[in-house]
Amino acid sequence: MNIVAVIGVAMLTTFAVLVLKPHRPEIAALLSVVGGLVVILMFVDGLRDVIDGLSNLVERTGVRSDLFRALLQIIGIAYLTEFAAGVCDEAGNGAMAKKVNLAGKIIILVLALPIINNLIEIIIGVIP
Amino acid sequence: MGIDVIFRIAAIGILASVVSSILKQSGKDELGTFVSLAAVVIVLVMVLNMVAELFNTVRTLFSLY
Repeated sequence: MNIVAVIGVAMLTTFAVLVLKPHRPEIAALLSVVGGLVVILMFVDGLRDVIDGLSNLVERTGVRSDLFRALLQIIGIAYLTEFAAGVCDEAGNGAMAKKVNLAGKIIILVLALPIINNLIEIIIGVIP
Repeated sequence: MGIDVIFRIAAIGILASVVSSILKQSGKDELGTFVSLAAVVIVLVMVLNMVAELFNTVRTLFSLY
């Protein structure tokens, strides 16, 4: 969970990819994906604590739990889309990265609909 | 789970390129392409395992069912 380990892995992966690129570009691309994965799997545990803390907070303040769940899903989808788009970009396939981004945005929009409806209901309720 | 995976994949890549260039010198070109293909497949399987692990973690974390 410390930043030094993350920086170490990032540097190591970058130089390993540089070494491997001229000989085996396809394995170099896969190596950079693995480097990204190792970095992510390092700090995922910290993320779990944050989410548990947030959900406790939500329960106490009485916010509708399904909206919070939708919010979490949106964050998860945004993150996965960004990861996949990064992988596609890294391998040189910019077109695919844009398509993945577009798909992610549309899915997030669909998930955000109930939140928007809820917001509008609240606003209408406030206006006398 | 960590740096050893990166070293392993880098080693496979370098080994594949060395072996395929040796085979090309000795005249067996098609064997060289088979070797590099095999290396890519091995690395792909390893990467797929890690990606599957990441997806499961993120799925359970963000309740993305």
